Amino acid sequence: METLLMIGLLAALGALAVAIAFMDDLLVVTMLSGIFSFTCCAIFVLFDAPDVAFTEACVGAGVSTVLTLAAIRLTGRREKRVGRRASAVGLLVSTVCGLALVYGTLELPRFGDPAAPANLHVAPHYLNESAAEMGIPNVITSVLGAYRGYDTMGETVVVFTAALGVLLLLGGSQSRPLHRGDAPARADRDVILRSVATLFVPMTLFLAPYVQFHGAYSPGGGFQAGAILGGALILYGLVFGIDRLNRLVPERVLQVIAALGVLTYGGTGLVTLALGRNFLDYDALSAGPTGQQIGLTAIELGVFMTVTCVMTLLFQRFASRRSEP
Amino acid sequence: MIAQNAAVLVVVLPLLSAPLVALIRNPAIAGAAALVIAALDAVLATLLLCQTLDGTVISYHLGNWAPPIGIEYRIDLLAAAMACLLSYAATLVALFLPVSLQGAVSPGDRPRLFAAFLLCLAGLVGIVVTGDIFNVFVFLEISSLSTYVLIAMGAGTDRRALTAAFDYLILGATGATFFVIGIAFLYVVTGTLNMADLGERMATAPKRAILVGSSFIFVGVALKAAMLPLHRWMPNAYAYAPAAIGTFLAMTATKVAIYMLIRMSDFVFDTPGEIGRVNFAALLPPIGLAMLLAGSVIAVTTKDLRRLLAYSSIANLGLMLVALGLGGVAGIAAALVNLFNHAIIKGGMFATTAAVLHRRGSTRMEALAGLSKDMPVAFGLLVLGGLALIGVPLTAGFVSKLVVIKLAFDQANWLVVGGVLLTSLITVAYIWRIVEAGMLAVPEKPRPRRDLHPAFILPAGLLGAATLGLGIWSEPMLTLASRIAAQMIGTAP
Repeated sequence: METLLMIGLLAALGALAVAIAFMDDLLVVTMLSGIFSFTCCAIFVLFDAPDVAFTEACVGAGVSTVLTLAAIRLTGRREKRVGRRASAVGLLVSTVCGLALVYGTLELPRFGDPAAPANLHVAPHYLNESAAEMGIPNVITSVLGAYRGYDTMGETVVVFTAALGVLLLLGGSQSRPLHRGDAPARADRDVILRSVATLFVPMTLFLAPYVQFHGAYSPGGGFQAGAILGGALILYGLVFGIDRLNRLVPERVLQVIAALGVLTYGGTGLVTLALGRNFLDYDALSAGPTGQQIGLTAIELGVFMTVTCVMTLLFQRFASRRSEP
Repeated sequence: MIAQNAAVLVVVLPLLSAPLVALIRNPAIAGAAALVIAALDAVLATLLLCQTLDGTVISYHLGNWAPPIGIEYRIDLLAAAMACLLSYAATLVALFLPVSLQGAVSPGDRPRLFAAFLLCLAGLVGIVVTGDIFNVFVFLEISSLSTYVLIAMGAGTDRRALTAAFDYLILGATGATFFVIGIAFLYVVTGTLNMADLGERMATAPKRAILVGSSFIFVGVALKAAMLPLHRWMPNAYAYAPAAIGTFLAMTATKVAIYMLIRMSDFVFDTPGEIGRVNFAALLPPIGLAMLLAGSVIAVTTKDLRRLLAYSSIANLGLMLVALGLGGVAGIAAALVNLFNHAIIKGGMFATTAAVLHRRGSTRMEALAGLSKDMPVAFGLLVLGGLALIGVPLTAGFVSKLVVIKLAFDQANWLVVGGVLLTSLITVAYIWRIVEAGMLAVPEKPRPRRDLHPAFILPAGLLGAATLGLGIWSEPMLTLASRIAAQMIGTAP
């Protein structure tokens, strides 16, 4: 059953990819990529990776679709044809790459094989020792936050860099005052949309902290919670207008909190350094699993701050920009 | 405390200062802060170099998790020397970055640009000090993202910076994807991400997955190294980025990619000096020679000084690949001599070009007319750099070319010897174009004599002096390079 489902989903991914490649209506392409992301979510769930599915649903299907739509609003809906439609070299290169990937996977261990090298080397330590070392049941959180916490700090900085880039490119300070747009959903017409959003946004506001703090026990954590809260704020801005969103969370505040998020994460590392331990060695904070838990809570908070604010900032920037005359 | 944590501070300092710098409102203060941070980072890198000079390898366990459970920073002489190159380059560029942004980037945007600059530095240093291959990818992302943004900021003077940045974004993202797919393959069959551990466990792993994994990593790195035919992003990126940023990228970005090739040949692939079981080393000399010739020939035909220098960089990258492909301790040493010397020579020329751009508002060949009269120092520095590129004795460029030719001569590889000598002749042609444009062309109207803006004098002068100094006194560089190479291969120097 699961195999059939997987085959069906993968076939759908292939079909969607081909359709996207040949479509020249960008609005349709955006919608199809949204569906592509949702199909990916289903596959991730089948692979027992619900936290990745979470993020993909929120960021891949939700936020990035909204941002692409905002970009299309600024540029145009139709793709301009330039040059040749398809090149023989391109086809050859992608065929070779595809064949190489197939060739490489032929010898790989079966999915979930307990004797696979990936499950025998470092993974046993993560699975067996995490409960004693961290005192939390969710191993993924302990790998992301503690064992490989430095990588996660890097990823948080990547998110921050993206915001910095968008602020620089979409006219940061020299830009015109934020454009006062109409609410996309009109009070007299879009009753359903507005009522659904009115119900939905507060619920999301509760879901985000739950996902954040429940990250120790179930799939979740700063990235997911940040994406959810950012998504809720974007939904608010979409339905009730960018002006209300800007009044609710001014851009400068978001900038400061996004930076503070990175500093919270890095600062945790600096504190452990100051206490005479290695960078991000949470044992410095307190003995045993408690120290690890304090450290994990602090860094997840940093991730949450940065991700939420960057999501919202990106939307604000795109939505506040007038299309070029 | 600082000394024993220098390994991590050298990355974390610029990384965590960047958000603070981004929040500063006054551009002058933000510029000064960026300079101070880059200079402090240079001090930390120097400290690391001192600690590793005797052959010590610093292993720093992040979060105090022993590798391969956690991430390891592993700093040998090569990593420390690269960290020095990157942080010195950043310090020198930060000296004239604010001046060269005048008129190009609005004052309110500059603090964020300085922040992106620091993130780029942190990302590049993060790549060279780490011993964990996934950590390489994370810091590659940081440096790449900030580089795209920095290049796009040239749009204030030339809108083509936007397409240049976009091209690099698409190609760079493709390269990163290849890199991460390669890592995934290696991880599936070895179960580790630590490069040293990976190198050991590869021997018993399934061959096909290793072959595909290493090929994907190679293509990803080749793209970053602007290896022919994946070089298309590079000339425009260097030419249209803000001049100071172009200088920094010319000194660092592709150099780090070459570093990755050297590092991976040692750690990830178990045949030292040869890259991978498919033996990519055999590919390097032909690709390198093609880059040498193509880069030099196109440089002769360009109409803009910065594009000329960018194509000349492709030729010089070719020379490094040729040296690397010749293999062994001597090959790595020759590649490293070229890497460091070229960063110095090209950095000096790009910095001088930034100064010319600051005075004249253009670096097109016509705009150089009368340069020798009203900017004699700048013209002199350009000619000095040009002579070094040709490989005239008493310049650093002579030393670089000599080591490659000597190596090829020993291996009786006449194709390489001939190719290097031929490109030196072509280099004479394109350097002559600079001399012709700057000295012989008659300017339309006489200009008042105004030489380099003071901010450029120290960086351009220092790099020029180093070009001469390392040509006359070549011993330290040669010793350093051969020590590094010996440490990489694992033989006593």
